[in-house]
Amino acid sequence: MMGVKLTADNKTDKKSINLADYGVYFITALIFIAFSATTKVFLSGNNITQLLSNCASMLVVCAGMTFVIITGALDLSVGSVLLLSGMMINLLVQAGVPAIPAILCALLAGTLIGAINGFCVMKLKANAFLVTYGTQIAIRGFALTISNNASVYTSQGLKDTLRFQVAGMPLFILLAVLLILTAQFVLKYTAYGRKVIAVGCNETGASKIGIRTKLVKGSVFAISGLCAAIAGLITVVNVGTCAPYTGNGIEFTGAAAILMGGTSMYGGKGSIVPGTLIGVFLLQMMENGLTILGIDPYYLSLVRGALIFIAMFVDSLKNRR
Amino acid sequence: MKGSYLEVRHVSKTFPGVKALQDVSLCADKGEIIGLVGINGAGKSTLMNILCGVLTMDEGSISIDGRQISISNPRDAEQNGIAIIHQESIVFQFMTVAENLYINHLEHFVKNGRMNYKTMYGRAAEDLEKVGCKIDPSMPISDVTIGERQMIEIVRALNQGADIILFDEPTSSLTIHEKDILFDVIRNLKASGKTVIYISHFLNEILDICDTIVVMRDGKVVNHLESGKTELSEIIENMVGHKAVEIQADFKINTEKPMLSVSNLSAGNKVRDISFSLYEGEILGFWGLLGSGRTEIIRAMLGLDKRNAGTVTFYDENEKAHTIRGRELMEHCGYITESRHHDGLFLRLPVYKNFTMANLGKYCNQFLRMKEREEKQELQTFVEKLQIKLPGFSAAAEQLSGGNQQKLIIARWLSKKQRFYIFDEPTRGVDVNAKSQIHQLIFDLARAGNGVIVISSEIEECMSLSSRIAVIRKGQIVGEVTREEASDSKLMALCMGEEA
Repeated sequence: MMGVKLTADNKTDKKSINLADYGVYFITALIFIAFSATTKVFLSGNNITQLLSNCASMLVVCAGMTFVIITGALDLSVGSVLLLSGMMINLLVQAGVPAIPAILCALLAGTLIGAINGFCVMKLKANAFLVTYGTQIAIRGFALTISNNASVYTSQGLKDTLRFQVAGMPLFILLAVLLILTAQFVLKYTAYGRKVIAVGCNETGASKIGIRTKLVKGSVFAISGLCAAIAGLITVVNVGTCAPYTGNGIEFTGAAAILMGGTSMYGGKGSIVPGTLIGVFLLQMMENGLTILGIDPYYLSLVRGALIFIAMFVDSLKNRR
Repeated sequence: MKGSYLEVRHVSKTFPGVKALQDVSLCADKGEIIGLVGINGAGKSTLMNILCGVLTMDEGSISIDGRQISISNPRDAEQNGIAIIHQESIVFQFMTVAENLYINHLEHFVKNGRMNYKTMYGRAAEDLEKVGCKIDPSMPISDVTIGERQMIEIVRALNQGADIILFDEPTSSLTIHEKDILFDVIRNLKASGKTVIYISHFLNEILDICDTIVVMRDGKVVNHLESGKTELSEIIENMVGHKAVEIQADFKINTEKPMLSVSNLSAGNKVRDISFSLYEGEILGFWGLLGSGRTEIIRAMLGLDKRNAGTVTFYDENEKAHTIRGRELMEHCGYITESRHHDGLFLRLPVYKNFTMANLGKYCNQFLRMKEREEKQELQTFVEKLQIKLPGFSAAAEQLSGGNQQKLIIARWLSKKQRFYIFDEPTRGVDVNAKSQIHQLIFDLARAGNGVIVISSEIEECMSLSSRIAVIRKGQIVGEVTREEASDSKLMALCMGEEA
């Protein structure tokens, strides 16, 4: 084709602006303005903190899951890992274990479960969907067994240790922000992130230039497991309890948020900041705003369903050629 | 020009950054075979895609039989009697021949609420017979050869009432025998008054079968030639705009210094007892028919497939021998694979990320951060060195033409400064101009003291590049021929199993 003289400093490599890519920002902005205008409570400091708290644990789960989705797989076990992590922290602290070892145990368990998922996908060449569905059921069963199928309250001591605020923001919100920024850095600016994207884009191609594709595909599950366990910690600190239904269904609402943020279900494309961040924020803001407006909770599900549907549609639109 | 059956007038099409077609006109009569040639990126595919409704044109008009038509999707093309036979036939793997044939019109065979397979198979046998194809319509399509699948596509097109049939590189995966059958069918199509547009990189075929040759270059039609009065060299000149250069072969092979030695390598049932050595400065050709196990030997050597027996030894710069385990050899080798789109490129990723993907460690700083500026700078030096034409560093790799994609892959390994390279079908689907540049590059690599293995189905390519050719049949090396001894007949004889 016509040769265009290029220099390395050329910063004018333009990307064509696509409505499908930016639509989610417009929608988020519009809805934000609408809620601010129609309710007095929405824009209040307390509510914004509440909204961000609601976002925090889902953001952390989704940060890990974005890695998995970019390789073209799905991790259905995150909700159960979140539950197990929350239960473990609360039970261990109740049993007299100091906070830090209890938390480390939970994070280790989450990473381990992720690694087992990864191992099954890597070595046993099992389908990721089925493997993680299996762990989802098994781990939820295990978590409910150790908790006798009951809610476990977070000890006052733990809450006191972790519920302080930094610059007016609860610690765990800052933790979530730090975590998603790190995740985005890893995804976008490190060799490992490049490899994750490469594997999602063209797995056979990646293996033929010497990328250890199985290791990459396995490792993303460990990341996802770790993130889900951290989300468990955030949940128990934030909510003050770990209930049997905690984390239920977060794998699908999370996946929908990730897709809304522009990450492709087909693999090879996506971001955590701004992508996953905006997706999660949009979902949580809808629920928060509609609740303030006093909408029937059943309509909330309807709206959530509609958002997921739109996300799927936009994803397929973008991948149509 | 007036009054032709198919008239394409003043068609233009622009992609971001590239004028793919500029004021292209083309006419074809009933019973005429038009050969469309041009190097990759000349605009042939774009023109074909416009005719069959995959792309829409920006300007221009198309008329059939004096009636102006508009084609905005593949269905419009079908309704106007335009059909395309793809390079790789589109088939539904788990269905029978007949089901594949009538996939668009299966409802015609429904009787009493269920499929009537007996009538379907009967019709299919008749229809296939018309193109001289005698396959059993109840066979699963997976048991049918590539040539026969193409026949099925042709029958499918004829059933849809196609009068204008486009062939896109139809012979690239056919055997010689299948090619002859295809040409008979195309001549029959001509005799029955169909219009045929035939795209191919094989200019001999074009001269053989086409009435008129339309040469495209840089998105324009540069010449119409009559095939009876045209020489091959004239077409090539028109295509590239200047004469192609031949490679001067003066190898500097260092037979003292082996780079790689493979002994008694076996893997699966396609690689049997392979032994060979590769020396510094050498280009070793692997030649054999499709399916002879050439690619499998490479895969086993690299550890992409499990090795059952044998050793692979690699000698580094200091002549130290390393016995290769697992995939270690991949660290030392640049592997340019057979199919760019399938396993060479990350089509949707930017060009510069494609470029550095095999060498990410080099562009990481101490905080593990990728140094994108350096990646682009390095790419820039290779863009100049290999004359790669890019719309931009951040353009997706899929936007490049075939030749430039191939150069990008080669640049990827050159920048990693490997000492050992494997080229599997290095110039498949690449235009004449890029082909000679790539040949020159491979040769320069060898001259610089690297070791190169070239796999090619094209006997001429293998002979013009290699300093030594290993002939492969049924997963074994059945003979080695030096550059001086090599001839078509000698290689053929070896690969057919006759004693040379």
